[in-house]
Amino acid sequence: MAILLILTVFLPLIGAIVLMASSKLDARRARAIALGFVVATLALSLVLLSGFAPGKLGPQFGFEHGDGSFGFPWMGPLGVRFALGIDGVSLWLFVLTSLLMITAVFSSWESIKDRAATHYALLLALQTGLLGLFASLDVVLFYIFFEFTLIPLFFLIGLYGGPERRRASVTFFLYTLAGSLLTLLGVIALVGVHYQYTGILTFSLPQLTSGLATLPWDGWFSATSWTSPQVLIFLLLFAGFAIKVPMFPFHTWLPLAHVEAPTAGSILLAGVMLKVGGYGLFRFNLSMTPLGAEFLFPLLAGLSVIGILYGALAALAQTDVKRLVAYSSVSHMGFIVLGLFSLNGTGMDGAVIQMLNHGVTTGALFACVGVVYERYHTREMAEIGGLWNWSPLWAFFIILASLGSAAVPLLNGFVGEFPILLGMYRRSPVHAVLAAVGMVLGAYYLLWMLQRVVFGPLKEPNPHTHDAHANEVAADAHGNDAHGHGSTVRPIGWHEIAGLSPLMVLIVVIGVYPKPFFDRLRPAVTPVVANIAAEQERAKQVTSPSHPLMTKAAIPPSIRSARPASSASTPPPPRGISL
Amino acid sequence: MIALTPFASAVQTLRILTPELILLAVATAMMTAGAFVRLPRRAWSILSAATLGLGIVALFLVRGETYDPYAGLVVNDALAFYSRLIFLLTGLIVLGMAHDQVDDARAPEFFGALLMINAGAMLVCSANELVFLFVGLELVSIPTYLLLYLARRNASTQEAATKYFFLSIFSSALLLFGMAYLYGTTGVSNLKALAYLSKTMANVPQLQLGLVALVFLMAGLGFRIAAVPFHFYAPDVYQGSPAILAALLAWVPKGLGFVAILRTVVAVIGAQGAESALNQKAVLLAAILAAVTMTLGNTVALAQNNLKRLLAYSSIAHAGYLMIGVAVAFRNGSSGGVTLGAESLLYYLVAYAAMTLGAFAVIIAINSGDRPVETVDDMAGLAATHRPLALAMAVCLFSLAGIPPLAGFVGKFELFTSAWSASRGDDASLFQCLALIGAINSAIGAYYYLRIVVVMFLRPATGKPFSVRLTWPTGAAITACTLLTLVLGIFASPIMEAAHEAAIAVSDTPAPLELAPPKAVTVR
Repeated sequence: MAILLILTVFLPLIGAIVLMASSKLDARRARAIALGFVVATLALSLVLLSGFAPGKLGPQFGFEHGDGSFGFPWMGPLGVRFALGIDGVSLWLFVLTSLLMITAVFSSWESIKDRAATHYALLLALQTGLLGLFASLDVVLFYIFFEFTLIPLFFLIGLYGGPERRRASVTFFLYTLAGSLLTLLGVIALVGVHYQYTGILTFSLPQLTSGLATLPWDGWFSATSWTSPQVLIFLLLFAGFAIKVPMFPFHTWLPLAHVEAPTAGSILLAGVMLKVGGYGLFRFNLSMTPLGAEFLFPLLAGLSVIGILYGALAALAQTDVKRLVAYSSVSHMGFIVLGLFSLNGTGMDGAVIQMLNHGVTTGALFACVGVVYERYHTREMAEIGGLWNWSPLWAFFIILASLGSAAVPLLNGFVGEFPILLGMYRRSPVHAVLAAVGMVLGAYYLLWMLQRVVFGPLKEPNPHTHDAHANEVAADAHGNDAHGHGSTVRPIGWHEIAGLSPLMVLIVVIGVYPKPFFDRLRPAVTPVVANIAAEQERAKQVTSPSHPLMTKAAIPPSIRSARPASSASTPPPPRGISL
Repeated sequence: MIALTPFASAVQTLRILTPELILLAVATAMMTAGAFVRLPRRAWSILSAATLGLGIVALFLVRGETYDPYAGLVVNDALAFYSRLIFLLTGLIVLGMAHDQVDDARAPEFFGALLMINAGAMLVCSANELVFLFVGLELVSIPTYLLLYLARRNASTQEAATKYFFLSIFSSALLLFGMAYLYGTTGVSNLKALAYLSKTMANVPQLQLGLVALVFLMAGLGFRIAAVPFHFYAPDVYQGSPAILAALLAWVPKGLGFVAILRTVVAVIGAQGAESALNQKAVLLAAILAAVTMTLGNTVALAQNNLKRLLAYSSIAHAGYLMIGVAVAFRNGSSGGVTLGAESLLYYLVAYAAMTLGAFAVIIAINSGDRPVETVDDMAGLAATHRPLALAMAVCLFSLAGIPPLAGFVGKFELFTSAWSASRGDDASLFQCLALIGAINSAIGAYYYLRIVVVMFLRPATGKPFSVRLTWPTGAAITACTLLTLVLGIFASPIMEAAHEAAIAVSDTPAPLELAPPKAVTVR
């Protein structure tokens, strides 16, 4: 199974190289090859899913060695290892990526005609980046996949996007790069602190997590000011992930990139890329520097709530459906971050499952919008309406996805957002109540959008703006009197149905029976929650007046303080060792 | 090791210098014969390539040879091997780019000068004597003047050559001044001996005099690496010279400048340990140079439109990143944190060579007479017509910007890691700030590299179609650079190991033969 995991991660890359090498391929062949690779990857992911042991602690399929390390040595002298493995949190995001990839390929089935081989090559390369980062057990490997995803997305937006694509791709690239470079420093700082106080040089995620939780350095557990080590490192790590999520003041790249991206790009951007931010916050910030999160709670929760409300209000003000969905992502990602920063099991469980839910519903919404845009070449709500009359099936898809997104009970959004609110209420009722207002607003703008786009008399834009293949079906003579009685545009195609229906099934299944999902992700969330409690306990001891650290009246402002006596007496271990 | 007679010692020195001697002999022969024999430039370039190949063979043959470092002009340690090999291999790449950049009449001088520059760079790598190191530096400078004048095409080329000439002379004088102080404080000019004295005796070199030496040595070598405030010449000279010379200037002087810094300043002052005041000043100086150089290079590059000028500022910025490695190397000697400063510097040098030469090679390939490519906008639409070239350029540019999984990322990661893990003691925050400034600079720098990528891939072609003249040696050079950039990012291990050994050799000072053990020497 461990080899299967590596194969699953790199299979799409092989496809990308094949398509890249044969860039003269026509669209039909290219999409068939791409579909073959994404279906194979999904199949392998499902095999991994079925082989995943639900109750087991720690990462699985990881080539675990007796000494607790995973994978194989990679960058020799540094001790960076090539280690892949998945646990309950990454499992669902891993499968989600494989699944949304199918939707992405199907949604570009007809719309991408020019340079199709390159388009699918970029999609597949992006898939390897995303799968790899969710499966990474080494911080450097994680970072490499994390940044690697920028390159294919940059070209996807830049080459195949809307009219503002160049500005959108550059903004997206630079914005996320700037943040993630600070994250890189944070990662280096984590490794440095761990090496300095334990003498063990490791880049392994599980080892760093457990090592930092029991660091023999009291200063690490005192997060009482902005310059405390955990707070500083938290902020460094936060810079990159907050931009990816995106949290409120850092969200400005998102509407531009989402709107300008081609449909497949939007699906992956909203469906998976944003989860990378949440995943990183969970994996790094909350697992390794929880006291930083504790110290910064008012700020973080405040920003999350502002993000929820701001995103919802901004979505209400949109006239473009795709923009509306983009802003709804800002709002919904606010919920996920809020759940994570509740720092208790209920909220974090909800946040993790909500990452999956949001991926499914937003992916579906963007795909639905893409279906319409491909035919009408507009997304303005003033120009389209009553699309129920055009295709009831499409209407059903978008209604179900919207209701799921609006957290209607028995659909998936509820399963995620309810625990988030509950967890937050235990922590801070004010924030929870404000977030609940955001939830109401969310239902309002989604239903308002449905009312304008789906219901009422059919309203289609001027047929002269239809493109060639929209007119394949539409006879020119009937073009003008099409309004009001039956549409003349191409009906929803088999590929669009095939891309959307698995997502619809998931929306209902997660909503009705979420137990298998929670069963698998809980073992990954519980230790993090337990660790937060343990570190809070330790922080209390450290900052109690009787503790030597406090009586000396000098809290080491950062990791610059001298090595503790325990490790100063032992000589530094040889390089490259990881125990 | 046993003490050698002067004659045996001279023989040993010459044996170790065989690769350099081969290069020099052929270069001299070529330049002399060029006046009498008329051969097509292809013959001259094949001869040069064969010489470089022979140099590589000779380098491997003399690899194990060592002798008492305190008696010899040269050392043949891991650093010498590593950096000499890099210069030979990049020499081949430069030759591939240069083979059709000169007309038949000037070919012998041109290729002879290229070989001499290579030989000089290699001399610097193995030099163990202040004067010898200086000779190596001049052996690089003088043929460079020749090359710059050979290309005399117009007033701006001549201005560039003149500017380079005067500033180079000036920097050599500064360097000599610094060397004189280093010699004056100790009375020895053997670099290993200097390092040994500095390591074992307190107050050697004495603080004030040592400070003068430090500042002047860094100033003299700062010109070679184009560090602020000695960077002024770079944009003008790069822009005024043909692309092949800009490529040469962007790599060779920078590479050898950093090796020379390691050999002299870092080895001597770094040996003093973190407690000495001189060492702390050196760290501070290098850190300030690094921060200012990368910030200036990156921010000014944002405003550039001329390709060579942009790459000149990019090379200044990279001097800044590499300077982080110097600052860390001053601190951590042979044992350090997660990774050594010198180690990350040496790794990054290789990455820098591959990606910068690759970018210049693409520019050379697409820049022919009837459709010049001078500005960034001239590259518009390259991907539509010449996809492999555009891809190669994009790989090099993404690597320069530090995007994984390419060599530039691994290099930056190592540099930042070394800086962060050196942050102990009083100036911990200095190193942390340095890493932070480096990270912010990488983000700024990404903009102008990305701009070129955007122009190549996302803009439609304008004006005349590109007239690409891609001969196989240039193609091979581009392929080699691109593949290196990719492979060094993914399989960094072998180079990292080699760089690690070389970094340890920098501060390796074995106990001298004829002296009593170190304890007896440290009479205060």
